Amino acid sequence: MNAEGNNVPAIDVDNLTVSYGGRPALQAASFTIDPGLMVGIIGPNGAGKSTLIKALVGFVKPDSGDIRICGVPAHRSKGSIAYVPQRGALDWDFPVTAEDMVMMGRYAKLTWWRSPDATDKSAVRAAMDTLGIGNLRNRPIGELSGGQQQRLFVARALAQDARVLLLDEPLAGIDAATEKELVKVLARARVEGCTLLVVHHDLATAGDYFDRIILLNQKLYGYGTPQRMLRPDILRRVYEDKLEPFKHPVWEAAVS
Amino acid sequence: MSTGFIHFFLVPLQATYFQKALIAGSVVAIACGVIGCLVILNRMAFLGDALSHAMLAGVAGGYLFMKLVFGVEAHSLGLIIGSLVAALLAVALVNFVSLVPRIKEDTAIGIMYSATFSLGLVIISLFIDRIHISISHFVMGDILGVADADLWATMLVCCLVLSFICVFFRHFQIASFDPIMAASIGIPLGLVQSTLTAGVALVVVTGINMVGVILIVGFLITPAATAYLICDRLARMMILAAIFAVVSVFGGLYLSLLVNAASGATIMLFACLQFLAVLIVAPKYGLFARWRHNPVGPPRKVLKRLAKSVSP
Repeated sequence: MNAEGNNVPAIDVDNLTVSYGGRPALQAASFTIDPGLMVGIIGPNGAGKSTLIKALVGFVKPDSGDIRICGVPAHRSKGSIAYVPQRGALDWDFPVTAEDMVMMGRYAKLTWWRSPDATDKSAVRAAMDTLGIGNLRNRPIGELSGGQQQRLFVARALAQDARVLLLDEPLAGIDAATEKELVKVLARARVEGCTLLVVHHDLATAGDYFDRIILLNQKLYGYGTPQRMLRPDILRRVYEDKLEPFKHPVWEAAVS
Repeated sequence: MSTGFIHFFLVPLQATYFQKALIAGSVVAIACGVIGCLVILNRMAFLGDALSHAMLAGVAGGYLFMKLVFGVEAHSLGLIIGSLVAALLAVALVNFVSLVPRIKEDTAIGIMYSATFSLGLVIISLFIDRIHISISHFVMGDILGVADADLWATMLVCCLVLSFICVFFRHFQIASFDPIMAASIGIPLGLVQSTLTAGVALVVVTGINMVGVILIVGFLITPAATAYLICDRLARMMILAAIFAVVSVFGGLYLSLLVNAASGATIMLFACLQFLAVLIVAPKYGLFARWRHNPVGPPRKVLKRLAKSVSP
């Protein structure tokens, strides 16, 4: 967009605090993510991972703190963020076709009196072709497989021209083959110029999938490369000693 | 035989009350069918029920207000505005009670639903000499006794609601389907939600005149649910729901003439039979289709093997 586009951080969170009904979910988190990275958010259940994502999207109001998306304050950056909810959070019986759903990505650009025109339609088509689901255009979303549904979300984000993709546990509850495929899809989105922020559960694969890791448990425990973040001493603090031993090269190297 | 058949359809059409019933019924049917789709997709059916019951208080309040301030009886605009205020008040109360996390929304609705209905009854019984509202009319509706003023008010309200849904179709669609995404692209969720609630309230007010407070919720959701069994796109579902609803009004009205039964109830019964028929034969989501794809019970092969193992 602007000449120095690459120097502006994709996500800049400063001193973010969010609470639900008086209970703090996230306390004074600050981090800066450079564009084009794929970042994993890691932490135990109830650590505020989803809360962080929902605050970034603008779905929950932070108590305090500052969020900037590509240099623009979050509440004014409508449409530059695409949110991919947990798959179970959507009603897949909803009467929309795959194409309808990708078209929703274009709604961000449409004013209320304008209907989608040829540009919107071709953007939708291009996004679906990029992800290899062009042939599913007229299928009801409920008939698609889990992997196809995830591709649909990413296609919607591309159609939206989103700069930042937030994904809430996209790899939960899918089989190994679909997981591999989806990781490829996410890499594809990164090639298209997106910054990805992914809530992730599996410590064993986190090191392979992500460029950077955010460690979260109510407060920010660290942000950095997997090599620096996935260390037993740090993880033990994040998981409050409730961490099951697991097999991972990084872990084992550190333990021995 | 065929002339007798045609006669059966034509003769009632000459009566003004029947014409009015058909027109008013169809207008309400279209509005109910269309907004009903959003109601079932947003799982607001119970809320719709609460709204309709809250309206007794609204009707009574509106009646009393118009009578005491302007000295007019049963002014239909007054009744509509009164009902709308009551409906929105009921929703506000539900939201207020739901603020305590322990009280879930359906509990809150259940409490407020009976409270507002009781409030209506209390107001009416307190001012029994001033308010001439027949409770049975409110409960059962009177589609064959539609007055001209009601007809116009109904048309105005339904057109308003329908055009709102047409213009803001995308907003309603995305807010129902994926609220977080809607919020992320700057759609004012709260506003969309309250507009939808107000729309439902308006349609319910006009519908109560026709089919009454008990049946209106059925009228709101049955045609929409029928269409849902056939459609995979929201716009088509809305159009089909409207058609199913109008067919129910026509079918139900004629049927009520034929068997000389209460018209509102016959319309609802017709809508329900229509739903059941579609439920059975719908090509993709119907019961037949389901049975064809995965028949109930163990597969034949297993049965055969079982028979073999049992027989000596």
